Amino acid sequence: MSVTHLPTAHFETLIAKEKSLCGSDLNWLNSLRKKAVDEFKGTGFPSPREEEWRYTNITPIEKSQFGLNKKAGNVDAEFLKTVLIDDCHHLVFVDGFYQAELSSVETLAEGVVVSSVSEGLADNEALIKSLLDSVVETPALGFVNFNTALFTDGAVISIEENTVIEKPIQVAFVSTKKSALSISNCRNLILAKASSKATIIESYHGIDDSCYLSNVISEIVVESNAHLSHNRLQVESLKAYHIAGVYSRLEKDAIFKQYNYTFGGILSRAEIHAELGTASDCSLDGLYIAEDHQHMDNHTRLNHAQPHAISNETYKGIMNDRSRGVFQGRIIVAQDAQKTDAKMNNRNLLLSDTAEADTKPQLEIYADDVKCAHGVTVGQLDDAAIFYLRSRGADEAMAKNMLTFAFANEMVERIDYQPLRLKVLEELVKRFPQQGMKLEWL
Amino acid sequence: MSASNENLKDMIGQEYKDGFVTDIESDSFESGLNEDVIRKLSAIKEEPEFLLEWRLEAYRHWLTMEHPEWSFVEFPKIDFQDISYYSAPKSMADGPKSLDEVDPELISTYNKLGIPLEEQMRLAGVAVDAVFDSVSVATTFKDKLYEAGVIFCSFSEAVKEHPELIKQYLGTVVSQYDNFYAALNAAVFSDGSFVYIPKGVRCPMELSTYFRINAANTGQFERTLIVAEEGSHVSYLEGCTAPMRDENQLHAAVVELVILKDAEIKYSTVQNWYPGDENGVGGIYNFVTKRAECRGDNAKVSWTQVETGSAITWKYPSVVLKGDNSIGEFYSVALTNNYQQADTGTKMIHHGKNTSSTIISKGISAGKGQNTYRGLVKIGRKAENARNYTQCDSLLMGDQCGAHTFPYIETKNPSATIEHEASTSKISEDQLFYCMQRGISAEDAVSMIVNGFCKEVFKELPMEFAVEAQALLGISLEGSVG
Repeated sequence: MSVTHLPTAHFETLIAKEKSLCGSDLNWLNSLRKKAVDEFKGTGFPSPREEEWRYTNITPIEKSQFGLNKKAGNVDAEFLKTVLIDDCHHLVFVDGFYQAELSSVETLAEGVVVSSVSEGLADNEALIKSLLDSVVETPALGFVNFNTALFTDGAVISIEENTVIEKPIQVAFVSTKKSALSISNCRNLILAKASSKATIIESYHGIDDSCYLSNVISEIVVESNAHLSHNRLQVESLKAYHIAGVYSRLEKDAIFKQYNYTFGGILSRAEIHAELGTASDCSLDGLYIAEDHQHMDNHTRLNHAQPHAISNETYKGIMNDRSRGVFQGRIIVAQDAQKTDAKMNNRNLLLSDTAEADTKPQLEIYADDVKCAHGVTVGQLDDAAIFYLRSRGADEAMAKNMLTFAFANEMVERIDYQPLRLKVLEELVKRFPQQGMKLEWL
Repeated sequence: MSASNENLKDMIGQEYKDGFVTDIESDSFESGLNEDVIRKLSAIKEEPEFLLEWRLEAYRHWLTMEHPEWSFVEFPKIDFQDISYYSAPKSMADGPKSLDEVDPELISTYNKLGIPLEEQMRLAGVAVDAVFDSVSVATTFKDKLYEAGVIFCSFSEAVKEHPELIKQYLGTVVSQYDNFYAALNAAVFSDGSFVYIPKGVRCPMELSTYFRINAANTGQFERTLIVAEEGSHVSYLEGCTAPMRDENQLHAAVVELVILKDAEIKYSTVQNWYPGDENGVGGIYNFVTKRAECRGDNAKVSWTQVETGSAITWKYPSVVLKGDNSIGEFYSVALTNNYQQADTGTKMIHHGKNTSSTIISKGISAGKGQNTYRGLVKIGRKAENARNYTQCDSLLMGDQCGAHTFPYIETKNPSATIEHEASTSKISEDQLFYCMQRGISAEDAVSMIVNGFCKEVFKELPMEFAVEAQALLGISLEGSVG
């Protein structure tokens, strides 16, 4: 297929100039980075003429002439407090660099690794080598290659067999305000070994209205019978670009729950891909609330490669002002994946005349003994429900707010871990300021 | 199960019934495409200057276009220089004035296909325009239609007798630059049907066009234009067959429907082009652009298609809902068996207020068939209270086939209500067991279940066609227990 790619000369220069990345003394890593650079030169960043990117135009990123972050900026304690979630182990990255003094990882069971990639390369090189670039699809997308070529740090987490980590592990990424536009590239590597259980929270925060590009890739392996809950809370600054990829592989009988909450960024895109092993259980849930000129794009792909797997997917979007919400979900059922049960749901609420919702739920099925269904709705609030609330004394604005809130809250209620749920609720409530919606009521 | 799998093989092995070749002398162009071919074609058709210019513009634009690659079908690159762009039965050269002068060989071809061209077969009550390779050979019931004010004739005849209508409407729905195959069609289309229903007239009978590809190595490029004036109503049917040949043949048609205020067009297709043999050799490539434009308020258009033939079906009958309160409907059954591929669906583009659209698509895959539903629902900024309901169901028979669903939903108006549902399933053993324990054979049970699956679409077809469609589906599918 002949596709016009965006010119990426600027980014190629960036890559060529870069000399001080983590692990630059390791040959295997250098050759991996070199391969990524070569591939990136061939493909560049995707253009809207590509089917998968038809609703999201990343030209502003290419035009912005970003530079690379060289060191972490300052984060004051007050701000950090709003970032960190109670009762968690914390790994904090600022502008793409690990900050040991801001992080706190309490003693963990033997064999459990929770560290940054830059530090982990010293003690756990073999682990990092086995995970890095092992889950992302080939040929990799432009942004994945860009990340592989330039990642400065990230979290590496490995949960030992038959181990349960009670406290969730929060990996927080903070971007500070810089004089120049800057890019941070982080790579997270997560391994849940057989019959282990853990909860991981990735959160993304921007200070004030800083403008930056955050390009993060997470590679996740959930071994047989393991149970991993992976949560993403994206509250980047309202001028930031956020491009993320969550690539996961589930082995036999694994359970993987992915929650994806998108609130920030002027332009954000998340690729959530999962490859399902025999009888594994995967759920992908998401909520995106866009205001002003925000553009939010969520792309999910469930690859049912083996039989008897179950997947459930629900994404809800609320678009206001001149914002645009994009959802693309794809379920692929391979010929061998008999007895697959896959469900996908996307619900969109448009709150203004100028907002836009684009959705593309796709089924690609090559096996015959399967149950697959998808449903999509785009619409506004139910008149009858508004009428009901008004008949009970709520004014129109109040009624609408209550219904909109309830629509979104359904996705927040799914979070098991109370402190995280409160954190997400806090962000949600901020989107309903005019009605004095209070956290205490909830 | 194994017994019914045997049945499946038997049934799938059934030969294509309409695959005979009519031995008739024909005038064909040499293979190849250039401006001279277009000029020659236009000259044979005695076309006015504006049409030739229009064709040449389309051709020049086509040369700059790239072949679209986004679809979910696979086929070797087509060599457009290896196709003959015109073939007509020799006996048509002087143009028969009435049916009596039509070559009896041609009439018997159509009789063999079950299409009555003789006017005495009034019982059928359907006016037919028969298109053989590149030209229209006969149009029945012309006089009766003329009394009602309805113009129903071949496209070439319309160009000669009603050039003002052609000039006014041709290319206004699907422009000559629209897409790769539409541009190619605009450059080289040889014939087709033209229908004009004047203001307030309800067409007294069903109109029908029957397309037949006979000659080898030809492509069929026909163009249909239907104009429904204010308050008029017409129901139009289209059927197609082709002989069995080892080469793939290209059929790239364009259908344009113009619907004005309060008018209604019902357009039904039963497509049974030669699908290729069980090894995927031969068959027709059916790459068609069909679009309707509801230009006035309260206009209504309904596409119904039963796609059982063709090696590859690649088309999206679309509706542009411009007028307020206009309605677009799309009902489709697409069947793929053996190595057949289908990438079909619809586009509903809402611009007017209170417009509504309904999409019911049923895909059936058997053998190694790949069946894709691809549909767009687009709600424009000004389409207040637009409404869409989409349902696409797939039925899989056998573990080698595929069923895919690619809907695109783009909404720019908050008052729109859009619902989309899709499901994929197979005929369950429970359903079969239930039927069989009531004394119904496995074969009949499957046929019953499949017909039930397609019922919502079949009930939209005019009676004669519904019977034909059910029979067609029966031939291809009876006994296919998954």
